[in-house]
Amino acid sequence: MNLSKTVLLIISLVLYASLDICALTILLGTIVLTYVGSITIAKARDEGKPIISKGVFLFIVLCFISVFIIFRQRFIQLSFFPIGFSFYSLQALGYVIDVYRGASPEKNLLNYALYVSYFPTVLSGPIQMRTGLLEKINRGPVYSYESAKKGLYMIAYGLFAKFVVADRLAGVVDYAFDYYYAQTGLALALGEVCYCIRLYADFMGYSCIAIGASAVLGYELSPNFRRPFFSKSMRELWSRWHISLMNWFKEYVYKPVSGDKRGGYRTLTGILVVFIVSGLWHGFGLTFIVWGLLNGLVRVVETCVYRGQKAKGIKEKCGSLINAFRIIRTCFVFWFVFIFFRSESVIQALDIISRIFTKPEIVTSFTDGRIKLGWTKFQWIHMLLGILVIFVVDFLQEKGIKLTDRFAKLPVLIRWGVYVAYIVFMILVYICFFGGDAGRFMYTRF
Amino acid sequence: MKKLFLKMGILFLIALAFLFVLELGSLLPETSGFINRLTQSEEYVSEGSGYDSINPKIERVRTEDGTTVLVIGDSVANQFFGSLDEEYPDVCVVTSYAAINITGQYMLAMEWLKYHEDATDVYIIMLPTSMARTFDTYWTYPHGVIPFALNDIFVYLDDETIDQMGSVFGKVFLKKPVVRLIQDSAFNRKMYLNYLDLYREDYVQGNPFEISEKYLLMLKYECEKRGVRFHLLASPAGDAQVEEHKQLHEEFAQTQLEAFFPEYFDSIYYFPNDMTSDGQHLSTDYANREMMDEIIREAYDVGNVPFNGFWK
Repeated sequence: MNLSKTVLLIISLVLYASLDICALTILLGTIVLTYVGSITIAKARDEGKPIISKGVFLFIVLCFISVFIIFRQRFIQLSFFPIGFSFYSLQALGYVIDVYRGASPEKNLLNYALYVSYFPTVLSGPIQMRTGLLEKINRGPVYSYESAKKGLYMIAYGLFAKFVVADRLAGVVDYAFDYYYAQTGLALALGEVCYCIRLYADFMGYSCIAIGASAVLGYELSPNFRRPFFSKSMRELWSRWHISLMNWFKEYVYKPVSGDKRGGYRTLTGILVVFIVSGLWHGFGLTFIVWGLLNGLVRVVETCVYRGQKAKGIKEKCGSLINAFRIIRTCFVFWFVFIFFRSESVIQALDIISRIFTKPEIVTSFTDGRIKLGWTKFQWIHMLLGILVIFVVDFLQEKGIKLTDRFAKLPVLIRWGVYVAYIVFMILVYICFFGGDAGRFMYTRF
Repeated sequence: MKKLFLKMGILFLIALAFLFVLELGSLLPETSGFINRLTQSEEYVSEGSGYDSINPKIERVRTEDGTTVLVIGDSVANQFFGSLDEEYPDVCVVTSYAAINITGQYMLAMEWLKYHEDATDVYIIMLPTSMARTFDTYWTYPHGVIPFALNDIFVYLDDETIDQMGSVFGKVFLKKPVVRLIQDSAFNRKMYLNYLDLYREDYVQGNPFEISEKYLLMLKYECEKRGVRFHLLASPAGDAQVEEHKQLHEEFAQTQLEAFFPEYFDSIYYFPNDMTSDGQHLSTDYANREMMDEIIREAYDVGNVPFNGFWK
């Protein structure tokens, strides 16, 4: 292992340990278990001992399932759910499954350790397949000025999405949901819209930061989001949203369940199972299971409708208006199912849905100001500007415009002006929103 | 790649320069208003801060006014005794609040002793909960550090206490020039106080009276050295605090304070919790001179405990 990879491994482990030293033992345990396990599986397979191979494989899978399902709630209560486990465990488990299926195991422990603990992705993904990051680690980093520059642009954009949009929206969303019983239906609907945008900005922003950092380090990662709110169907949305996770579920859950045959009930069952498991992966509560089930059902219905149209020879209509309708419809479905994702309970989710559709109180929302969800007009204007930036970037990219290339062609003064303006803006945003109310520091009891 | 690092270096310097401009602007009177609005630091402007509340008390204890009795204590004591020096001209009442910690009370007392050679009595009147306060990340710095550091009376604290405070606030933030920068700039105050709140932890005492034990006994010793009588009295308390005080008494009994002040907990006078606004202070309906005098008479003439208070 060369020096740069060794240094990167040390940095990854030290950074992880600095967040949670106890969780480091779980990370190291995962690395050792899956490394040793995969070599044992491969060796047993090559020596014609399928029972040992299968036994070790099942043992490893059971270990992961145990931590996830049986101990998740208990660990959360004890504040000891290892940070990033949901992500790096899938990475390691996927690798073991690949080896069980016939792939050659990684012999270099340090390369494998770097693959699992790689700091840009260890906490929140994107989840890397063996054929992606591990192979790139084996080949070694590829440094280039252009990819590093693009990486920095991605980091800058990711920081904007996360800190300026997502983190600010958190307050409004919490206000809407924590006091949902006091909100009008329209305010709740707006709160849910903000939640969807917040989720996207937060996760997409983090992914941009991770992918950008990795580009600077010489390892190119695949995108994790591809403008999901421009999708014309939920099927398309789930191919654009959290791409690495959906690819993992497709490879290791959908394919085994649905089999090699396309079509039929196994395909539909595979779709349902993927989304239910995805719900469980997000959280072991009824709301997440319902969320997964709803997504699965929508996908099943879409698949059936699509097959039906195909069987009858009906071609999908095209056109800007129709596409716009499909996009709005998809966004609506997404918005709806994510009410369950955000709610504390299914009862709360159903109550919120009932309020939105039966008690919108549109006029009252504006007259008594509840539509503002605790924010001032000034704050809303700033937030809408931030959301507009994300929308414009996504729109331009959807049209095929490569923004980084266009930007690189601008005169140097303009580019540097943008850099300086960005830095000043981000510093001011950070300062403005740093901390809470000043009154907390005043001892007013005399 | 060198080109990239060079560009990043230049941008980093630009960021530092911008921060420097913000810092400078926040300190200059001509630009501080604009910087406060730009950084949303207006709420942190110093009016009503700990310095504004405590600085007059420091100035008062330094005034050679011929007083011979000092009364210090927490906010409950301030409610009951705060206005009594109008009635008793030889009494200097500088009760404040618990947020200055026992170290703040000690520094006030020591400064008063320095400027009052004819002193006869020092009264410190506090609730057990006030005595058990540690150096926290919310109130201690604005109330218990800034006013005292800026008035150069931190010298009364020993090295161990400075280390303990340093573990919470950072030693450099106890130095007068740095304290001055924080006090004079709403922007600095916002950044630093929120940094403390988000990223630092309170000092964890081995016993809830760890800091109080040291400074109460030191104050007692300093008083006795000067021939001054030292009195530790309990502030009157709402009866909702009885259970909490019982638990604190167990901790108190493990310190030397029990030997020197054995009647302290037994002497606490409890009034009905309904009379309080927050479980400790009298509500506005009851916080009148007549009611408070009646409580004082009841509180400090209890049983066999002979309090010879300055009000007699």
